[in-house]
Amino acid sequence: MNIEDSEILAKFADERTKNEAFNLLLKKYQQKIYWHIRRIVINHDDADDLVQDVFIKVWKNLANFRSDSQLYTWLYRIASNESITFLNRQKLKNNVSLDAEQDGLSLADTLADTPYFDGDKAQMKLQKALLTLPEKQRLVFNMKYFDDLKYDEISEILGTSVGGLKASFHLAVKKIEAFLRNTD
Amino acid sequence: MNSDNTEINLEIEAPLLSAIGKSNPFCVPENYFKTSSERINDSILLEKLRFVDTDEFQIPENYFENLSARINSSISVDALKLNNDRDGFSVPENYFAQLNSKINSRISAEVVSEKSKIRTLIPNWTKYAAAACITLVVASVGFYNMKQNPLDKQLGQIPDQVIINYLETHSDVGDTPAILENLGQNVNLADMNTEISQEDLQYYIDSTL
Repeated sequence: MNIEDSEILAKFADERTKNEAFNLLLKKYQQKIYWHIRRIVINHDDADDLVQDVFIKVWKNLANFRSDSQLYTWLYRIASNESITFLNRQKLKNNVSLDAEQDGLSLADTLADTPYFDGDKAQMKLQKALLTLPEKQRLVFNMKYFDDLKYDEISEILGTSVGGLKASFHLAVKKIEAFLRNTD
Repeated sequence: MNSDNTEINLEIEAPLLSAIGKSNPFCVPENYFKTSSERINDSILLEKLRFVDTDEFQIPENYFENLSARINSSISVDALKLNNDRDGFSVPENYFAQLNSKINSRISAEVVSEKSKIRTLIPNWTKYAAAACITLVVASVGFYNMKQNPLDKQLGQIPDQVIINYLETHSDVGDTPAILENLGQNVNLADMNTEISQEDLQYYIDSTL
């Protein structure tokens, strides 16, 4: 079943089919949103909490959604903002330094401890390389590399120019390749 | 042409990254996605209830309009209390800083004084002396009682009939004062003579002389 976003929005606007529309939206996007969040926060339980928070916000604000943007880019934007806010709260809570290296080390510990990781050594190494990137660069890399989103779509989600995103992605690739080459 | 992919050729520029691939190394608990919709809907239901509950609470009319003024006046009252907690009285500088040590030194002096009084006024040997005195008094009283009227006590142990028999056989004129003395403290011999009849005297003479 591949229901159009416009149909979901139309059903949501009708009070009689509102709940049905929301369930359709959940089925269509919940896994994409979960994996987007999970790659940012690493830990499954944190991702689970954040997915629920994101869809509660969606439920509250979907009636006000303007169709001048894509529904899924709107969902990604909410998910990205919630995830970054969560990480910033965690940094304050743990009194961790705001620089990327310290942040990466903290999330690397989470990565090492998470029970829900079944990748091999190379994949673990790639994830560790990703955690050395600044948060926004990591977001751009994840959406471009793993989610196959277009720069236009990422631009809409993050509010950054396409040129800036291309530069950011290119820089991220260089850093990751260097990490993979220089780390055992 | 896909403009996104013209910028970078991963196989050439990042061969190590390209070799790892894009497969997702993360996993989720079993049946997580089967139940996640239900959990999200439950969360939303709770949110709905939360909003309903909020609407059910009522507040007095103009509550929020007056709230700021009430908070500010409470703060002012507290500040006023804080500044005037001594009712206008003042104390010398550092008074309370020294008061504690003053009280402690007074208490220490009192304790030392009480301890010395105990040592001088009630020495330990006094209780032994008191016990000895009591024992001495009790012993003296007992001894005195034992020594008093031994003849009376010895005679008291002899039956009356034995005494009468003895007097009948052994008494003489010289016994009379002693007999009369034992008959009573206020007996007058002259009075007794007046009361003794002729028959009694005769009987006495017949039986004793």
